[in-house]
Amino acid sequence: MIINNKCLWLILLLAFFLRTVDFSWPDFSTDELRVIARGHSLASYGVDELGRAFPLIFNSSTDYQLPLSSYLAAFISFFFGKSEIGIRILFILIGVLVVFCTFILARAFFPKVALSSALIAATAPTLIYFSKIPNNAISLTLLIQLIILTITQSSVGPLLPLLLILLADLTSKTSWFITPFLVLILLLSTKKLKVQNVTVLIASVVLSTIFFIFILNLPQGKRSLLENNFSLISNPTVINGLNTARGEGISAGWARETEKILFNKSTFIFTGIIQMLETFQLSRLFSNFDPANVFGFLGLGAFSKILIVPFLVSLVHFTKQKKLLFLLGYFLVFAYPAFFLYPQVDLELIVITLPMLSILIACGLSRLNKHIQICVLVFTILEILLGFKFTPMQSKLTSQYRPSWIKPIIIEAQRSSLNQSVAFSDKIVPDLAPYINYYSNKAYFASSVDSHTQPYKVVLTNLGNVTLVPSKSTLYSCDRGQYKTAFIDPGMWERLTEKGNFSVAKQFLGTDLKLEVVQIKGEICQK
Amino acid sequence: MPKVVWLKLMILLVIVLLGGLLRFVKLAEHPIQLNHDEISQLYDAISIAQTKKDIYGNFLPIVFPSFGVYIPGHYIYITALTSLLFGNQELTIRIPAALAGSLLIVAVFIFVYSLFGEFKLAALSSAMIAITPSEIFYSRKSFEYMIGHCLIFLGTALVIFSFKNKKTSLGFLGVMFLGLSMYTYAAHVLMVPIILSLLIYAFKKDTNLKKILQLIAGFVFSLIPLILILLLYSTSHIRTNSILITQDFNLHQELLLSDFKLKTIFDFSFDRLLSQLNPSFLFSWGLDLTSQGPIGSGPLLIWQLPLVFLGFINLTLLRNKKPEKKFLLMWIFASIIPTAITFEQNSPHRIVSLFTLLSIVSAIGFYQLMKYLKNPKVLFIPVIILLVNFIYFTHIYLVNYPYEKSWTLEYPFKAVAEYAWQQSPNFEKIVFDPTYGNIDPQKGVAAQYYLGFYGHYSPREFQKKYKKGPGDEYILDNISIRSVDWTSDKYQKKTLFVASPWRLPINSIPQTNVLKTFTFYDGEAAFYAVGM
Repeated sequence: MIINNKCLWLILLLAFFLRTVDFSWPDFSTDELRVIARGHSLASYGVDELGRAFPLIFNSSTDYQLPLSSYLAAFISFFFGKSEIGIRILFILIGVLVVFCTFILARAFFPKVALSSALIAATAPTLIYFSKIPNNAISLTLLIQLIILTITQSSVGPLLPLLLILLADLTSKTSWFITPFLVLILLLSTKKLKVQNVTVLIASVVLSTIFFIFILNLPQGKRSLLENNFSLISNPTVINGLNTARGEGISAGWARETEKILFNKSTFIFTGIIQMLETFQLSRLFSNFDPANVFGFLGLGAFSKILIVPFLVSLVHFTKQKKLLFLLGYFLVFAYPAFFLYPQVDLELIVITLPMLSILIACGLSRLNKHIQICVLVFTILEILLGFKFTPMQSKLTSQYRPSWIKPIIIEAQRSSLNQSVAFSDKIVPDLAPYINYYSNKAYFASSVDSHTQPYKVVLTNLGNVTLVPSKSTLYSCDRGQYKTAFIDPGMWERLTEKGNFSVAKQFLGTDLKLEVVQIKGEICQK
Repeated sequence: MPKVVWLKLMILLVIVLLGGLLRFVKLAEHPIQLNHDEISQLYDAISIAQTKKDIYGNFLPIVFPSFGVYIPGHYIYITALTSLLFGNQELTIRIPAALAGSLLIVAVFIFVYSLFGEFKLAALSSAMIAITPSEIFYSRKSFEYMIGHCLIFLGTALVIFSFKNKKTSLGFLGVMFLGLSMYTYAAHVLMVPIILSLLIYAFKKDTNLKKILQLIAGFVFSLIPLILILLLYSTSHIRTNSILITQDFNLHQELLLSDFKLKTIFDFSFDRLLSQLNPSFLFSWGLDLTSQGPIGSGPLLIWQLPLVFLGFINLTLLRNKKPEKKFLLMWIFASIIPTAITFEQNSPHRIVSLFTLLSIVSAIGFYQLMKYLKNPKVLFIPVIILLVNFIYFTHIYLVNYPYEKSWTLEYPFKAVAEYAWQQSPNFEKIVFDPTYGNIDPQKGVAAQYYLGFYGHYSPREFQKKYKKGPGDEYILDNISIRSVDWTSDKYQKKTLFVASPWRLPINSIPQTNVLKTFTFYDGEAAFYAVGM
């Protein structure tokens, strides 16, 4: 037991180390900065970026945002102010807690593999990555682990799991989908169908229902759900494909009835099932978690490559046991929201399954020869350490999504805007406000938005003296310019008429050393 | 012969006939036109049959330069033989692959029987192969892979029989087949030694060192000519080098930024390897027959998805077939290797053996389903679903594929070639620019073959008259194959230009000069014939 405790401490230390190495990497994206800046705004002024006092639901340029991450950021802001350190430490701690909970969970169900499960979770590249940026996925992962732990512990009453389910529901919409079924399958698999547990089950259903009703009552709530959670229905690919295939068949002389039998709405079911499996495909788990390289280490899957061996061994092993049915049940609970998501892939769904998968892999590992086990674990640790060697390369590849190069531009833009009007191309970053709110010492609020309304997708364009101009617009020299300086993207610079009338104040390069922004000065008009 | 054996033979015959039917019916019409690989191999085969030289005048080449891709010659030589039987028609090129695809049904039967010794399972596996989309698709498109593919399954089965029945002669025959398959396709050169190693590893308890060494010696003996070819003919490497993963554009981009190139290549390759097991690729769109997202066809029918799962579960549950299941599972994973080292994101044509093996696994699943559902009336339901799913594939293959992807088959190059020869006496010069495309412009690489074959041009004459002109121009009689530059070409007189909308500003050309429009199968303009 003492050795076990020491090993656990070592694993947690390793987990902490791996999450703090290269502390400032990865750079923050627009959405991540929005959460930090919003947290600071809530902590300092008691309002969000739209000027609403402590709202329950926030907005971004893509969807509504649930409150937990923002209020966590606000909490951290009390202690650390608007700093990178505070927010990173918060999520690193959550990440280390995920590793610890993996150990506790594994000890409850598979005691022999508790330590190796924790080690696998500690070295899982995706769990490390998501512990380094503000996001909902890692918080939801921890909450789900805690829900499982509290429900399976007889000594814990119904209140704690209920509180955790509420927190999970306030973290991500994914929770609304999975928690009722998760509670159900937990009760079935652990055979703990007592009154207090059934209460938790009913309460989780009620909570999910309330949240669904809540969002459906928002002005754009239905649209938000359709676009972000039920894109299988809202995306026209499938229905257009069916119509095209049918039309081609009829043109070729096939009977309309045959076409209806072959191409009908059952395609949605097949597409959904394939999408579920696609989300959890092996390449995401073991070779490339995010092909866009935005959420994950370059060239690494959710787990180290070598772990595919114990993973497969474990699957083979489980097929021989009655536990297989419950394993499939758990998989379905976590995977079924992906059914509705075609053609998107929700990485959050994969992240929340990783601790369970760590335990599954550890079970496979335990069936291998001792020497092979050690080799596998050594390779695992080496691969993630090697992964950090590639972070500079990855920063170059994700220069557009995680633009660290934007900081000097924002500072310059804000300095210039103190006494003159500034134009800023809207193509430089997808949403400028979070960058200005984070990097400058000024906070901008949307004065035009009614604090009682719930707009769906919001991009702030009114940023004091800084005006966002469409990248497609043309700038030209005039006598009394609308702007005295402009920050424009290379495309705009190419199209700029009368280049000679403007003086180039500065050129800004991206992480990949490509030209990103040109600052021009003069009397600038826009058409 | 006992009645039961007759019955079993009849069942197998029916399955093979069904598979043969699906591979041979309307073989000349579907796919709707010979693609660049088919036309080049066909015309080279006719050239070999008539002159013992390819169309460029190379005497009995081992590797054919073709349209610059240097392809192994076995399929061309086999087609040369079939051309003696069936004449110089389009069907001739498709017969060998369709035949190999039909024989594969038998080979798979023997293979599964050698593994599990159960007639029902072997028959079900061969029936599954008979209707699997990838098997039908590749058998009907003159794919040179199929002959080696068939030999591999046959050879593997014979080696397994030899291990189990202690008959060395069968083993020898098996390794000879395996060796022979390596002459047919580059991917087989890589895979066959791996398969043989897996066989020896899995069945090591059923054999002894002496027998293993004998088999290896036989295998190496069968490879001596291949080794000599590889050593003596430098052109045999060109094709292999040109398709390696290092030619991949995305990898190239990553390598430019990487300080640790070996790891970058390994990561990239490993990801490509696992991507081939992507369920949507396998069951939804992998054959790339449509542009409608999930409404298409994978190498396997969607209905095979649950059967594959069930098959894997039952395979792992087999207690008394350890070497067999070990070998099958290892081969499945090994069969993806060829695509992991080549440059295309998905190259289903290099991993047909994966689809065959997964079909066998799905047959195992179906076999178990039959056992669970003892009531034949209930069994009727999955059979009906399978049938509907197969008709769906047939629809996609016969209707949607030509409509949406005719350009991938170089459609309408045949019509252009025939028209060019028809107009040849009416113009001093005919210029054919083979750049065409539905979404992006791409260069049709085998225009000379289409002109040669559909012009009924004697290969002997072709060898003499087909010449390189200035720049990118090639000349055959008064037909010139080259890029059209309309700014200068519009001043040419007594010339017929056949070029795509990518090359001709068709709206600025007087309609009276547009003599004909060639369309893709869906009716979109592919080429215009403009007379000056």
